[in-house]
Amino acid sequence: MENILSIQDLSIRINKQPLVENVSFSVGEGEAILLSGANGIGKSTILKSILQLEMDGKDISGQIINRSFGNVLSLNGTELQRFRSSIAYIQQKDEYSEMGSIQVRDIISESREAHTGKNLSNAEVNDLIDKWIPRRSDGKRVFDANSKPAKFSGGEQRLLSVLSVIATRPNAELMIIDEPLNNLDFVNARNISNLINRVIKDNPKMGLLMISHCRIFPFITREIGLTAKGASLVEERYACHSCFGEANAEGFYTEYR
Amino acid sequence: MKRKTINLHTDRKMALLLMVLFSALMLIFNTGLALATNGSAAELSILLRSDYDYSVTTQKGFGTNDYYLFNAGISFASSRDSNMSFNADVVMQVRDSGYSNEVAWNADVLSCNGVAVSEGIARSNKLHIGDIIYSKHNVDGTIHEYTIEQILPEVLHVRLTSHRSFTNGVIVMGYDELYEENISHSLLTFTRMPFNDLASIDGMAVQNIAYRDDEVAFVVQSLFPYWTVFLLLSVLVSIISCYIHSKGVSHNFRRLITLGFERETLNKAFLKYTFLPGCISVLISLLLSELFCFTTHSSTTESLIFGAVAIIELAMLWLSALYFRGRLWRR
Repeated sequence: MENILSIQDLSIRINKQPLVENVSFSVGEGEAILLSGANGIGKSTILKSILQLEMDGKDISGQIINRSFGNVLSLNGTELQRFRSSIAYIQQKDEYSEMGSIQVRDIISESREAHTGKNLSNAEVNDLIDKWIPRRSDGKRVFDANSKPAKFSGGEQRLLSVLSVIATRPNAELMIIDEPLNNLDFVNARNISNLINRVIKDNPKMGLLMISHCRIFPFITREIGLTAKGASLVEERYACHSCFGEANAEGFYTEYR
Repeated sequence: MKRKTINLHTDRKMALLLMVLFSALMLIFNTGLALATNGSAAELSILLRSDYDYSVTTQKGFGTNDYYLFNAGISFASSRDSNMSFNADVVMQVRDSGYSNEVAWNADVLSCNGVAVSEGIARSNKLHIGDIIYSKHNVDGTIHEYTIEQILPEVLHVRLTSHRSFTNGVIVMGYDELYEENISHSLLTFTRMPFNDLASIDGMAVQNIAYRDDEVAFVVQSLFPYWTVFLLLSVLVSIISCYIHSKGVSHNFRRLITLGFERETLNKAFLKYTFLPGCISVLISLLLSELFCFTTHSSTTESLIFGAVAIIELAMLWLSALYFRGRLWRR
């Protein structure tokens, strides 16, 4: 199994204070890795460091090696943007309320455009929504191309964030997801789990690196525990299905309990 | 389908409101400056357009740009029985003197009953060429009629000295022999002659030298606080405007960075949404300010100042946009 992403001796200091020290792990083809650890231990900071986001005041040492781009820490501005466009990254916070008159179509189309150079029409966006998110019981979409995310609930915004990346970058070699279930109700949490599972099944070579405090995801293959001393493999993983019931043999939730 | 530009999804109403607000603020600053400094700016304009080195009072003229200064006051009014005379510096042309462009407000040689009045006095009293103004003749005591033969450019004083007068303009009289022969006077000359040459002329007693450079410095000194405040306010408003515009697109800009759009494309889009609206506001306010200057007959100095400040504002907008953009890339 070839590594898509390899992190070696990663140390991160924020304003000269050490946050993460000597962390090493890798994400291989077809692997779905859960990065776990206490709040504030530096999980999201590691994910942002992989994409070189929010670097102001951060001092990073070690290596972040991507199979296609080499050491991410030494990429120039143009190469870094190409690297970011190749990754399916879902960030922790949704800030659609601060984005003026933006529509669902813009969110989804622009994710696709940065990845492939082509944007999408309203009809194509609606087709994608229909393809990935089940309609409500009344037959209506949860949202459509013209909906304005600024007016969405927190859960709907989260669903849009996940959909916009998964639906437009299903062929990415690496998917990075930071807390996909924030603000979600049970139905949408199951939908998100199914969406991620589906894209992994469709693209079995994709590597997944995810942070979540919720253990409903049946497709996780390995868990890396992050502590103040570094990262290590969690031998005895546990899964929690008390909210959603058991997933089927392929890891999909089909029935709400 | 591929788009040529990236949309940063700014709130259009907000952006438009901000542009209008910024233009209005700049216009208020500009008109405020124009109203507060118009006289001094006009004075500076005339001084800069003149080409003499200094003015001096002497006992005999040089043959060029000489004027009589009478110790007894001469005043003019718009009607024969008016008690209100124009608040003007009055000088009289010398019989054999020529008048060149070295003094920007010089009139051509006027007739004995002719006068030239500066633009400000003409405007405020609705005087035109051919109109009659009146003056009590200091020699015979009768009221004389004087025909306006020329309107001079906007000028407040004949010259600036340490005992500065607070007149609103200048009236130049044509040569009148009766005044020369009967009223004590001195000669005021505007010249480029080196001062040492002047001192070596036999019998030449010179007094009250006023160098044009000193006059310019004096006027600039009086204008400087206004210009400084105006410039600082303009720069501050430019930076604030750019900051608010960039704040309006910052979340989308960061989202598009994360998505991996090309750096150059994103940078262009950012400038389009932050620098361009500010740029339009500056140009609108400049246009309206120049229009204001034109309609209120403000000096060319004011127009030039507005133009210069607009250029500085554009530069500040550009630098602010680059700074805020760099900040977003870093953060």
